[in-house]
Amino acid sequence: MAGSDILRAGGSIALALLAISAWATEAPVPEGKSIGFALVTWAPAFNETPGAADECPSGMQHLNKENWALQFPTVEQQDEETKHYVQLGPDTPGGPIPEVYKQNRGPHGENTTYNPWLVKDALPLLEVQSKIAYGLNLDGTVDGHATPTSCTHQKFVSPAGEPGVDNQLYRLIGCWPGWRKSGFNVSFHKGQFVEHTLNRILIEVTGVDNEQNDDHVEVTIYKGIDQLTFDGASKPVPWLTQRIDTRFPQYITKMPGKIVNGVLEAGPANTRLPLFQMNAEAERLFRGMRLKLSLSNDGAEGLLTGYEDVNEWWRGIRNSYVEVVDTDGLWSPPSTYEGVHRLADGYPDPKTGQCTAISAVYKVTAVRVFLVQPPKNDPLLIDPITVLAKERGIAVR
Amino acid sequence: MSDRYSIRLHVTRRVLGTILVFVGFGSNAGNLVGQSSDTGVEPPIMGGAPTMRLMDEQQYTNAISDVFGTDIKNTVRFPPVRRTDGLVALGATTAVVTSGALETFEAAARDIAAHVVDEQHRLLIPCRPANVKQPDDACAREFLGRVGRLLYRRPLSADELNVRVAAAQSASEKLNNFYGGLQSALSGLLVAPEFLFLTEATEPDPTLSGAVRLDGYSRATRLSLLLWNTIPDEELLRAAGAGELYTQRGLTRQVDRLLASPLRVQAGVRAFFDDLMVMEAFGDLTKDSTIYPTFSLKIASDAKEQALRIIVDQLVTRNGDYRDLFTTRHIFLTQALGTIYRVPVQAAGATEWVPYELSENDPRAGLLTQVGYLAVNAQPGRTSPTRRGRSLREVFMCQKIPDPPPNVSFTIIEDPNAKYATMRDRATAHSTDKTCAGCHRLTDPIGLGFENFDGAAQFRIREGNAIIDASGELDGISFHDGKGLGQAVHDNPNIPPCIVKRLYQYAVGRNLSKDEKPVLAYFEQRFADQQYKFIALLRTLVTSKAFYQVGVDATDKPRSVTALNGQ
Amino acid sequence: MSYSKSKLSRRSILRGIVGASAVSVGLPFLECFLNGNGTALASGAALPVRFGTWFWGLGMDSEAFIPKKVGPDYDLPPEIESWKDIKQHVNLLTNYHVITDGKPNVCHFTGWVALRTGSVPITRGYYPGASIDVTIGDVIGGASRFRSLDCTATGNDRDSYSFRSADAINAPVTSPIELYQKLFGAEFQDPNSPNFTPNPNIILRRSVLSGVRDESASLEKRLGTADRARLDQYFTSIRELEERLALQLQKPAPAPSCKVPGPMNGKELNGLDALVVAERHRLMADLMAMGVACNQTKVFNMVYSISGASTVRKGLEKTHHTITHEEFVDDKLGYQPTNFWFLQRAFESYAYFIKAFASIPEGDGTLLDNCLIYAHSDQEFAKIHSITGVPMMTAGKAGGRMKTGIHVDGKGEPGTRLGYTLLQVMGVNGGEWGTGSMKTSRAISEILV
Repeated sequence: MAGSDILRAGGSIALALLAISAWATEAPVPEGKSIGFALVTWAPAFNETPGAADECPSGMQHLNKENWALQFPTVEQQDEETKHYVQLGPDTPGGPIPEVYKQNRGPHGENTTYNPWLVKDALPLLEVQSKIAYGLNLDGTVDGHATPTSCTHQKFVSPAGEPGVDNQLYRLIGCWPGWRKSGFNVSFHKGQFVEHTLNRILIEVTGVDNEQNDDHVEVTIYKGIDQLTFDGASKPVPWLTQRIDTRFPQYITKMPGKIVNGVLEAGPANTRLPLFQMNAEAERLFRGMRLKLSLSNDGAEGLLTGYEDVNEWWRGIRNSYVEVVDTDGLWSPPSTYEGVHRLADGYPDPKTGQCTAISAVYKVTAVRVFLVQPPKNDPLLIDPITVLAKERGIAVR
Repeated sequence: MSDRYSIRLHVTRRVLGTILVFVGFGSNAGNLVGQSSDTGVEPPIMGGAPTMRLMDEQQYTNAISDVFGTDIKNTVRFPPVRRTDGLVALGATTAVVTSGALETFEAAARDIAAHVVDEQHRLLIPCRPANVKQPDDACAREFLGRVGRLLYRRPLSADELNVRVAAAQSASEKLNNFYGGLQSALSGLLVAPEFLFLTEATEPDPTLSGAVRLDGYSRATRLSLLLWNTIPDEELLRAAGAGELYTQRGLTRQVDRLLASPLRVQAGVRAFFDDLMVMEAFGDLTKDSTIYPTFSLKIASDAKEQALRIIVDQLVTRNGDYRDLFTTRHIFLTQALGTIYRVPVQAAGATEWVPYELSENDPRAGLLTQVGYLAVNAQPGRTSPTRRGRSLREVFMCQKIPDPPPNVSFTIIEDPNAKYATMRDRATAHSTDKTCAGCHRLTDPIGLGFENFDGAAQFRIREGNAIIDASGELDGISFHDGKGLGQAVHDNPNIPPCIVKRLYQYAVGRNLSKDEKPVLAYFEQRFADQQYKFIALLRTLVTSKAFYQVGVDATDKPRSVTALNGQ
Repeated sequence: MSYSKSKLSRRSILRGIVGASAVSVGLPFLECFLNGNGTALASGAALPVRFGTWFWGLGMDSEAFIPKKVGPDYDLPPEIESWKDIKQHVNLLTNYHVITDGKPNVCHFTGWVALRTGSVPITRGYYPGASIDVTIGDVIGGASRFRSLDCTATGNDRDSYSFRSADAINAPVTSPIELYQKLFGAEFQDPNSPNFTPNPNIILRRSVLSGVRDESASLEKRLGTADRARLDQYFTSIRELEERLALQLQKPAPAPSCKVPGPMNGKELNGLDALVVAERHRLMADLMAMGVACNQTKVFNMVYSISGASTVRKGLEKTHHTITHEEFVDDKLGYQPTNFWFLQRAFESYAYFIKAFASIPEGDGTLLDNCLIYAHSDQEFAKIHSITGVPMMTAGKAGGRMKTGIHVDGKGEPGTRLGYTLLQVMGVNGGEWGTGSMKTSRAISEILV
């Protein structure tokens, strides 16, 4: 009856077999100081007026089911549609159609959230009408005329009065209730953003000689992997250590920056970031991304803006909000899809001239953290796929 | 220490004199070292009575996991045991099992027994019954005999084993299930007083007529409890049964074996320091969330674990000088603790511990400048120099600071318009008022040396607008900050004798008797000769005669006069 | 409902010796003992009276606590304004002293020890005898599932004022979830359930315990006196557990007011913030009262805060205890404002506790009518650790034996007079209680029927 001793899980056999990954380096010692942040909130930057009176004078976005009702106005047409294309189970009596099936309004009953180009919504997309929006001047023009890297579009004026603001995404989704301050999409995502480590975005500013003013710093964006901690008042606890998730080099972006009167300005840079939204993974792909963050003792807040790739944006939105099209999501996918292409204002496709990215502005807040490379024995580094791939000489993306 | 007893000190000169006597005891013990003529020979003692200790929660858990494996969880809850003469281990020798406590023991016993006989744990049962639905006395005998011997820390007598086997048989019949019967008999073993009470037995000493000695199994238990905080293992029981623990050679062999297992020794060292440093106070440790928003429950529990890790690292892993505990820069951090220290912690996740070397410039060094000691001995929203000072005196210097008298007057600090810039200013009243100064003079100058660390143990240079002055003196040695204070503690002559005394009390389970002063002095001298290595002190203690010496048998009959003279 | 007067097999009263006092275990309480209406026993005697205690630390602010009026229908000063709905149930006893006969007044110790054991301790950590609830429990607590129910709202498992000695302290339940599991978890037998099947495992458990008792008896021979007494206590505990298991083999007496609460959600309650303590207390008070109504125990103890309470408040850097020493007395108010705040919270919780018992109907009245709940603190004025005038309360009519709603001015008499009164009411025989100047044999007639 020998007792079983507690074995320490120290020196793991796997590590002994694994060649040290090139990513598992010691933390570099930068010149100048290095300061770190982890993003805590990320939401579209809307300038909201009560009841959306200024932005959406004609009311909020039309719903998918409204368009469905117009597409199949009579009961006979609805029954026809249902009989052909809606699969009813053996015990479902002929009752009211569950709302989700109202997405199946393609010509052959296709799901129009996933195939939005198949129908044209009868009801128009209601775009933001007001002239005021958060953001920066991304294309360098005053009036939004076309340039080699942008398409003709309307500009906004910032709430602080600066002209030339590019924020076409706001124009597109500003009347979509889910995206407003206490809307469903924003509320649901708030908790997710801090809990799900796919959303852990770390910002490192190196070469900082003076946190108030510094002509030249370097900003690097990483994906992290660690949890954040919140205190009793739900404020993030500063000075946590956050590991860089070295498994994802594609999420590393470097950009130049400067600090002016405590405000960090960085970019532009092409940036890819991971995203977990609602219940789906996606990515955010920005071209010419910029940051403008006001720094404080234990955090930062400000704007993150750039041209978001339309396809990536659409894919994320579609996968995340397909389930709530007619419940909490309150949108109509076909007109949103059509809208995002029409309103896209960045990086035209050389062949078609269709802009492939849309100017987007997000409000972000961050907390001060210490960024570290994961320690050598970190299980994170033992990625079996990578090991196998390396052995077989297959490139890993 | 928890904020249970007010530390407003209001002491008369008579009491002050008593304190000096205590302080004197510490240094007298040191002087005896120099006076002892045979520094190489252990002075004899009468010895105390054999003890009957109620197991504690950790020992119970260790016993269960040693015998049945670490995946057998238990939900046992032990009643609070009183702290006697500074140690809970002494309270265990007078603790009683109330019916409320027995209820949880019985429930835990059933639970554990059920797990042990379930299908996933067949490996624990060395034989198979002939028929699963029926009793199998031979198999029951084998299992219960083996397990019983380990749980009781001695072989079961023939009667004891027969009765258990019969119980298993009867239960198996009732349940039509062999394993059910085994479970029933096993739960009986686990709730029996022979298991729950660590009872020491004596026998006549064959080498000295009229004398008694602790029997082999009792020696094994005393040894195993001290070094490993658990019941003796199979090999130690074998050695006990073979009489090897009566000889210096046999004893040394077992001691070498036990000390050679670092994880086990760590468990023993942890248990001792957990007791010594009143770590139950961590159960109460919370800070005000508006004043110290960073200080979470995780930090409170990490702080306790950190202290134990530092102790184990210095005393066991590095086998270093005990006094260096107060100056060491080798600490351990988690990500959560990193937010208090404001340093990056390269850990693989929130629960991982990483070793961390404080730099030479770091204002922290030594156990007393880490989170646990500083935060426990403080208020929810500010520091408490008196508590920090008192804790050092009582825990590490064995100097009892008396309670404040009941009718202490607070008019001095009661002025609602007074503007105290720093804690030092507030505490000035303590040191200037004649009636307060007597005791506060012993505690506050120490605690004020830690003022650079706020109530949540975060480092600060200022309190409000004023720069903090953390200078002071400890028994004549000056310092100007927490690190210097650590060095002053390191150099204080009361430190080694105190740990020797406490360890001895903890080991033998009772307070000291007068005739034990010389043997303590002997241990202190050996401790010093071996560079104050704690493991060496443990070894000296468990290979000494004094550790096993009993002056009366278990039924309180003293040794005969011939035996005494024979010494 | 009629009860057949079947032949009861009398069970012998088991005796054990613990130290020098006798311990008795009484008969089980079977349904045939109840009369047809469930309002009294078949013999005509009243329903059993239960005894409970409620403890809080740091006394009171006399300026804001002591009613001007003595006698019935007393006024409610600001510190106890929360008592307006329970005042009619509560006797308030002020100006009763703890007299130490020259022994030191050990802060946050002497006061409550004297009121709880009858005697003044010599030093800190010394308990001169059993706590009053244990003494009473020895007489009335035998025939129920739990000898006593001990709870603390502080969340700390060392906080208990129920003990037989310093070495035999009853471990408290520290969380509502734990209390729920203990009372209404897997081993609960609903007294009102129409189906009752004795659990066969219980017989097995009893035989295990009696086996332990038989086999380990010989251990005694090899022990000294002190350890033998400890082993005796262990065996007594075994016997008590056997008795309680035996009870579970019989259909429990119906308890009409017993309503099993639904499962609790696991809300995390951490720390000593006054609001967290209040929440813990609230949940546990409800469970405790229902546990008593369901006849799970006849003796119950609640600790709201410990002697020298470490309760905290958001934004305050000090504990309640430190406040009592460091806060100045406000000239206009006549008391310490923050101390007042903490004590108001304590008395709010007390009101909740009493209400919990008063809101469960039983017989012709309420559960509280058949209870006697003793509350007291550790000091009178915590700032100076005074023990002259330590506040005490009783609540409940004790089955009709006590008056309620009376403010009694003790005129400096020893506070043990109340404890003595309670012992008499609960049927604990004994000519006197306490030692030295705290010895008394005079009950407080103003509150007796």
